[in-house]
Amino acid sequence: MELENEIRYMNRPLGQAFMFLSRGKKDRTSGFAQRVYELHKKMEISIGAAWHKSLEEFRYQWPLQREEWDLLSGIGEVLGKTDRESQSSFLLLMREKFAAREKAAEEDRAKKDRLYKNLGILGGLAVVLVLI
Amino acid sequence: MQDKVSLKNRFAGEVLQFLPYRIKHSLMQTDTNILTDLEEIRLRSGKPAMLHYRGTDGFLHENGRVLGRPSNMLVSAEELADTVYKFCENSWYAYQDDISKGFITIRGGHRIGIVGTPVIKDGLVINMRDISSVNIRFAREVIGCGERTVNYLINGSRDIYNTLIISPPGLGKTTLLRDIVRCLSEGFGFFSGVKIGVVDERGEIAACYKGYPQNDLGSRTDVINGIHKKVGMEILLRSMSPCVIALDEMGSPEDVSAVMQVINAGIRIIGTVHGYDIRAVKMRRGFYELFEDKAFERFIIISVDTKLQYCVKVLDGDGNVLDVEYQSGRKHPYNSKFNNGGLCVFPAAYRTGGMHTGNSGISDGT
Repeated sequence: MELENEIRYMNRPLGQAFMFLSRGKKDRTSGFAQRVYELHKKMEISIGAAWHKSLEEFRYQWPLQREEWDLLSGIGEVLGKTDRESQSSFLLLMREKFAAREKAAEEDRAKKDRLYKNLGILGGLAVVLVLI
Repeated sequence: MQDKVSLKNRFAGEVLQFLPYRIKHSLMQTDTNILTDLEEIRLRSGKPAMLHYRGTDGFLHENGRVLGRPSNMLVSAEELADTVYKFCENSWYAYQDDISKGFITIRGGHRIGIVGTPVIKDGLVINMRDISSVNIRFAREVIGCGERTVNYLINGSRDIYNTLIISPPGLGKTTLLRDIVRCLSEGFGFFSGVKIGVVDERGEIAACYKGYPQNDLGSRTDVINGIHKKVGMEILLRSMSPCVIALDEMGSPEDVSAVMQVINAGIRIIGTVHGYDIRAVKMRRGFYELFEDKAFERFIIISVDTKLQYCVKVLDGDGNVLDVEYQSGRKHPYNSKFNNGGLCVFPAAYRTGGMHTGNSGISDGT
């Protein structure tokens, strides 16, 4: 969302945008933004390459599914390569995809919650049956 | 020699790093004397890279030599697109508006001209696709080239005359305007500096990069860049209360009527216009009224003879000649002649290593 603002309204080049996103915050996404900026600046690689490299580094810190990593990786392919409108609609599309993935994950979690709850009850019953 | 090496390194840092690897590699082997005299690098899709230097041009060979005939090191369309993408800091959208106008300005004030197939929406160019040519023009600032002329533009210690600089393209109107702005802003002799607002529609006067003017326009100068002259002047009037407004390449009748309004508001104007003489400019649409009202009290006319001798003539509002100054032409600052006591330096971004003394000839409009 903030990256979209940087692109759509502030019109900042990606290097600067990532620098601004990483300033004054200490959450996971700002850490990621900072890493992208650092790699882009220090290693003098493109933003796309810095994005992919940072994703590799954060792979073990973020509990994401393969499909979600693929989505994130796809963002790096498109960032900066089109005009403002296209960048904005692409990021909006990505947000919608992640929202759908989040909803699916929530449903999956609720389903699994019920399953484990039932399993717990059944397990408890089994223990009680064994004990008596 | 040391200066040449450091200049080469600066070019490498500011321009060469963005070029296709083959061309960059080749240029790093090119004669330093040519590199430091470079005016343009032209890349065309399917054609060899061309270098323009010392008023001539040549084609770049793989081994770094510059040949008089086309070499076989052809630039591909993909390389061109990739080069522009790199110049845009990997952020095409951020330079989209500039690209639509045909050029972007990078650090150091260098201009990258871009042509291809324009994408049009509602009659306006909104983007450029299928890039076919890229022209990298190296910025050169000629400090001191306006120091003599500016003496004829001042009216007492705190006021100036409305001035119009007239010359054909490429003779240094913008370069002269830039140095006049610097002199008036800083002040000199008994003239105390004045607040100047610069409307830099095409980014050629100040060459702003991320808010920092890459050229020296003095300490009392405010720059608004990348905006239509009329709107820019209105914003400057409202926000910066300048004593003088400077603008480049007045052309359309709208520009002229906006200038008239500014003059009527009591603000002084220094502008430039394409033309050969006052009469030719007067014939142009919109300018007639300006001349009828005697809006301009000083004219500076730049011309050049066959020996590349530049003539800068200052006239008053009635056409009487006040001064004629000759400046030798397109010679590089490292040439031994030291003309007019001027200093020829590269943009502010280049000046960390100190100034380069040399010829004060007017450069080619960069």
